[in-house]
Amino acid sequence: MKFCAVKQYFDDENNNNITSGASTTMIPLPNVESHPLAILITYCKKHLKIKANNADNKKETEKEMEQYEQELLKKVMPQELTELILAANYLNFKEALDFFCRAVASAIQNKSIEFVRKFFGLESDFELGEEEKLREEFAWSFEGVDED
Amino acid sequence: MEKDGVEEAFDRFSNLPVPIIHRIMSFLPTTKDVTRVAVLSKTLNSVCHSYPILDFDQRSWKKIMGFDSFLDFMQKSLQHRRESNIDIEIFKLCVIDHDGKSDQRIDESIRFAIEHNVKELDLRFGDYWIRSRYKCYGQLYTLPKTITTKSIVVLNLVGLAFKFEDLIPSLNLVEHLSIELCSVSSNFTISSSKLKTLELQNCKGLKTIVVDAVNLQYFSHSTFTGSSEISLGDCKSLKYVKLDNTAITDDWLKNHLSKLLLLESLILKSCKILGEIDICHQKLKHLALLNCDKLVKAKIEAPNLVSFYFYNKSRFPVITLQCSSQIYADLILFGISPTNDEQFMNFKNFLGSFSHCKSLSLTLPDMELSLLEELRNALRSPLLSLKHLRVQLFSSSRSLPELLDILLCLSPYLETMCITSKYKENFEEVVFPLLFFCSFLGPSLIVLMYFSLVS
Repeated sequence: MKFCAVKQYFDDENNNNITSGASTTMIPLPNVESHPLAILITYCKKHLKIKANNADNKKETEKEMEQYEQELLKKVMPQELTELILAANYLNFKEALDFFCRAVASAIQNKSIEFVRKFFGLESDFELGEEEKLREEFAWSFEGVDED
Repeated sequence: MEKDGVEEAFDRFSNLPVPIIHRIMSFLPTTKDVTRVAVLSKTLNSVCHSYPILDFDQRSWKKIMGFDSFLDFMQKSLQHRRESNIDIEIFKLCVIDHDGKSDQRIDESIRFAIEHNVKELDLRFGDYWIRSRYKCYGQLYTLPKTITTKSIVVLNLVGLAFKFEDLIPSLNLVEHLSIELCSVSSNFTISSSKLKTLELQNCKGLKTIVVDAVNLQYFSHSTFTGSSEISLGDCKSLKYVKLDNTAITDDWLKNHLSKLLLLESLILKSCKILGEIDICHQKLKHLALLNCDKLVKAKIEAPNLVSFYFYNKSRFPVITLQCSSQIYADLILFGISPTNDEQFMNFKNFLGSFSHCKSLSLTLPDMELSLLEELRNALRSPLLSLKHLRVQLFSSSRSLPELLDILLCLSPYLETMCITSKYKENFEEVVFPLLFFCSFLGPSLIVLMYFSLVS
């Protein structure tokens, strides 16, 4: 189900008013910025288009969708990813939310702590010695991690 | 101002809602990745501690630490969480090297999950693959008796020892239950409106199974010893039933089929008591009769049947089949040899009932060419609707073009034919002339040939 929050809005509207001939409705989305919204709308349209083209062949749909997703990821910056995730969450757009979460996960998998911190712009807020203690405790989880 | 803007753009990750960070973590492939998130920052450290999915799999830890250290590590991880008191959604534990003796750390971890209202509990003890393959139970771990919980929705148990009387009261909300390679009490009786799938595979000591679950859709049972009594008649929603080495009688089958009106798939494997069966079912789509060696007669009336699998080692029964025209059949038949007239007769008649079949896969290990020829001559009319034929030969393929000729007479409107053979050497000699031969036949005929070097 795509854009559930928006659909809900329409359903509520139809229940409340008898809109006579109004062809455009303004839906307030205070928590979503225009840029991520634009990307989400494109994503949704593309998804529907691919699905319609390959109505019978599920494998083809998946393949094409994957190709499109790979292309999309190349253009998106890490900061944008978090914005997209928040937007998809607010709009209740499950497929997009899962897709971007997966994208974040695959970007940080098997990467060192320093890389991930840089990727998200995180600062370590541990007190002196705390981080060392943790690193020692979980020493085994640092084995085989990719070099930066 | 600009600086504020930059800071705002950064570190949005930590400020994502916790459920979303958990979602991202659920896509991380290894437990190592998940653990490292805890070292990123203080905020993320506490987010990690509330991550509701716990997966302790000794197999992935084998290279890093021994059995004892693994259990210590698990105990420590759970201690970190006791303070946060968050509910656990999924708890998975896989232990391979235990010796059957109760370990406090393991019992504690199971209790921990239950105290925190775990929804999906997955406990696997022992090397599953070896035990299934060699049909042995090995050391079984005793499930702690204090599993009184009302929160479990999915329960998977492998390699444990327990009594059903202790477990079943906790299963009010369970929708998916799977018990495999466990040592249990002899009587399994359950009455539940929530149960959707039930698997009881190879449980030692199980004698009677009585299931009253009106929403049950999937049931699978297998046993090494073959002596269980099963009652499923009240499970009106059953769609899929698989019985392996189960001692069901002809009457049992008839009885149950008349009650299970929504059944779509029925798989009967090694059901050695079945002798004469009568399957009459409107909705049945998939039927498999595999290795039911005592079967003498089978009458199958299933107008919606789409796939039929048959495998037999000893004798070919008398089968009358009424099915849909879309049917796909896969027959593996040993023991059809020229010396056995009766079986050959049964087989000829049976093949005739596939006259409307779309796709047929025949594996005839003892079949010789002369027999196939006789078959062709014996069939009153060839299989006109057959579009796809797959034949596997176990004997020499030297007379491949002749085989092709016979098969095409058998089913002249084939679109694809796949011939597989055990022997490589003879194939190569024949491939070139065969392809030449094929080019004269219908333009849409595709012949696929390959061999398997099976020692």
